[in-house]
Amino acid sequence: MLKDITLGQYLPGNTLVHRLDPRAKILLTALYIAMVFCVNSPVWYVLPLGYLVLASRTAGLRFRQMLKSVKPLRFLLILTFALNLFFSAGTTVWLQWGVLRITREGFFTALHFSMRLVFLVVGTSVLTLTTSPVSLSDGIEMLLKPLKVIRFPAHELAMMMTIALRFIPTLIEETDKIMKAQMARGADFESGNLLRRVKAMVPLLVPLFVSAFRHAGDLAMAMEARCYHGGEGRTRLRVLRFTPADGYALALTLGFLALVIAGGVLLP
Amino acid sequence: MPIQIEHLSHTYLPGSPFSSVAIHDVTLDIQDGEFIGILGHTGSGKTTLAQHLNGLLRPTEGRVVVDGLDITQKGIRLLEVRKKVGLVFQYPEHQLFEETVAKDIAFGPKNMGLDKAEIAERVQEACALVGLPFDQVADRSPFELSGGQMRRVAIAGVLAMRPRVLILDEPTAGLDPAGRRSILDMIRSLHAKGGLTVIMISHNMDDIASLATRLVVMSAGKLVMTGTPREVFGQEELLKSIGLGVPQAAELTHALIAQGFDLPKDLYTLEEVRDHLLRLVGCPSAPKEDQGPGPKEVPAHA
Amino acid sequence: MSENTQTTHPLELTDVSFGYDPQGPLAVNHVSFTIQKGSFVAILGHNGSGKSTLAKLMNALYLPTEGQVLVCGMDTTDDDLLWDIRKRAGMVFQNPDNQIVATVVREDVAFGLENMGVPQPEMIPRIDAALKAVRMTDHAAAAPHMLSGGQKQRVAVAGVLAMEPEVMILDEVTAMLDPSGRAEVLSTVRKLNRDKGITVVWITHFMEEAAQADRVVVLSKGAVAMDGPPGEIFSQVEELQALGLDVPPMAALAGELRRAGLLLPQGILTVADMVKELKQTLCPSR
Repeated sequence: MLKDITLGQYLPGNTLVHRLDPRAKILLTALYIAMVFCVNSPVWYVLPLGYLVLASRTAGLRFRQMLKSVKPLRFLLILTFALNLFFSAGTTVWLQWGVLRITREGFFTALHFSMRLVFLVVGTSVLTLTTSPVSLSDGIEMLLKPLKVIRFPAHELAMMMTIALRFIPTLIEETDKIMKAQMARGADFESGNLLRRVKAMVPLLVPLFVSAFRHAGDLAMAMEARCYHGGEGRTRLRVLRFTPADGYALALTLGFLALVIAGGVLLP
Repeated sequence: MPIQIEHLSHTYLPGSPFSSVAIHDVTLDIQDGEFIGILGHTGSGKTTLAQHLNGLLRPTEGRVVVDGLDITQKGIRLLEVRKKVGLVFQYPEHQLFEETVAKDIAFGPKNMGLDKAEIAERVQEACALVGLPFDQVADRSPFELSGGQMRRVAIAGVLAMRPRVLILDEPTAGLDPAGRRSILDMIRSLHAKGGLTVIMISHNMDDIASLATRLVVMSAGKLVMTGTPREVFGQEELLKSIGLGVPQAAELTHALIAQGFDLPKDLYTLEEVRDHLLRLVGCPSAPKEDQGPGPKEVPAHA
Repeated sequence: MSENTQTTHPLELTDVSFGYDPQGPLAVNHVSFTIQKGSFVAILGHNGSGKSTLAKLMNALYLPTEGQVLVCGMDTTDDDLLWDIRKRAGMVFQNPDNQIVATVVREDVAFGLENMGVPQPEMIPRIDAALKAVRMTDHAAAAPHMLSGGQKQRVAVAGVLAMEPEVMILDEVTAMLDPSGRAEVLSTVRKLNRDKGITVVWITHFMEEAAQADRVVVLSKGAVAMDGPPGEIFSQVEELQALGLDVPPMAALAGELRRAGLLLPQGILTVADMVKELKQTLCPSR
């Protein structure tokens, strides 16, 4: 059954990376992203690459698993490469074909931006592969908590995320049931042009929406019955605690970032 | 319109780490006009079996032939099968979506490509079959109606396709006793008047006992036994061993027999048990003195 | 705020009325009764009899338009006492899916405790005890969508149990379950009532379940139609049928046999009852 499959990318494990505090991991990812953006010539990608190899080894991930996250983006990747290849400014022309022009500079720019995209996606996949959705939600809530001073609804956001995650398998199951029920009445979700197929979704989406609202209404009542009254005064079962490992990981990442910046300045 | 199920097996997600065998080697023939009750604990494969009969699921092994159409054949038009075999899911009211009741019931006929006049006629007919007053509900939103009425609208939606076989998956789920009686009466009349072949999946032994002409018992994906209600409910031990019960009348009969009462062992309705008990103690209208201590007609059995 | 739980009843309804629409009919019509501490009371009624509405009046989800609801001596209309009331009167609902908030069983059981601001170290033993009481300890790390209906409802019960309520109100919690799920949940709750002395209000339309309670309150059209021990209630076959309810099959059979002249006592509800009484009446020498 669809619902039995593990949600999203998370692969449970007990490595050092898995056990890092989710807040730390989110910060590490942010620093890594900064690192990737700071690379200003293709040769310096060796540093993020080294970082990724280190992270993936420690997390027990195989490169194939991480590359999987690039798959959905392959069209964007090709587009990015092509646009930069043909339309970037450049002087050393390699090929000319009417309006289209491939220059040496263009080629390296295209390579650079494409690699940036790949590194960003593969790097963030390390986060999602080693952190359960619930931990991520916790980490985000804790990190955003200070924003309470400007009335940012960090708790509400986290609660929404948790509830959404909780209901995704349930809604998938319901979608399947509704689809089958409509198919039993002769509905066809597969054939026809795009417009026809979109129209065919109405008998699926309306019941699903009605169902989702029903879930929401009942759930709200059940939550109130268990004394839910917003984030004020709430304690938490899951407590996040920083450990020295988090500190070392952050320091290491900052080190890599510094090297990339230095490299960019010294050898552009 | 017969249905033949031959050595049907179905495995979900075959070849993956999540694969599971839902039904295994089921062979069953369904004749015109029967009222089949499918019994089995949750997870026994009843719903999986039902979903093969209108082509929603395809066999992993075996064949399903519906009125001469083999659903496993390439190029089969499943709509043809679904016109003949109607399937009402559990909590069918969850699939309602249209702006008005009439439009929702018309969904099936519309998908069949019928013309407006034909559709309108079928919608009215289906409404009448489920006991809904067409004039009062046709233009209302289905979401305004009560739960029981919404369920009837959903069933009408399937009936409007004029199937020859009607499969109902737990039609009384979530209903209170009055609602249950009402739906069961409706199903009884659909079978009697409409000439439909009915297949009903149910957990409720008492409901099934009063309606079915033949029972099919499933357990862990296998077909354990078929027979008339009298035959099946006589097998209390076997049914209990696979996690099912029997109608209370049958349970009472077996318990009384175990205590030495002389009753036929295949009783399964309350009326029968009542009649036999009264016969056991003499004429029902006999004066009270005869019903005192010291019975004459209850021989002791070891 | 007098809360002497030794002498105040867990629930006391006095002339309570409620209507969804001020101009419309009353969903709950001048209902009065008191629930005794430690009892297991079934509220029986067909759909539309007002039983679910009544349930929600018991923990201040709805407020009465007339009359008064006291939970452990606290008036439900008192805003300041709202969370105390809901802590004392825990409620479990009908839809197994729509009460579970977290992605993992153990965390869902913690939900109520988190809302109450219970310190984290204190939460853990309470959660463990609650899961043990409903026999779901082995599933503490499971995701809710992998559980059966009966298991989900037991998790919901655990979630309320962890909050240590005085009274538990169960609003048709078995209506969407299969027979084995229903039996599982009912037996779990009966055990809680017996072993931990938690007062239980069990709302249902299944007479077989009501038959297992200490006391049955029958609702019809928002008002109390009958109130008494199950044996007494289910003997009144005609009255119950007139109220749109059924009687347990054995009670119906007993009624018919009595009408035909057999001297059977009142109060026959189950097969076991019937076998016992038939033996007694027909073969008293055995």
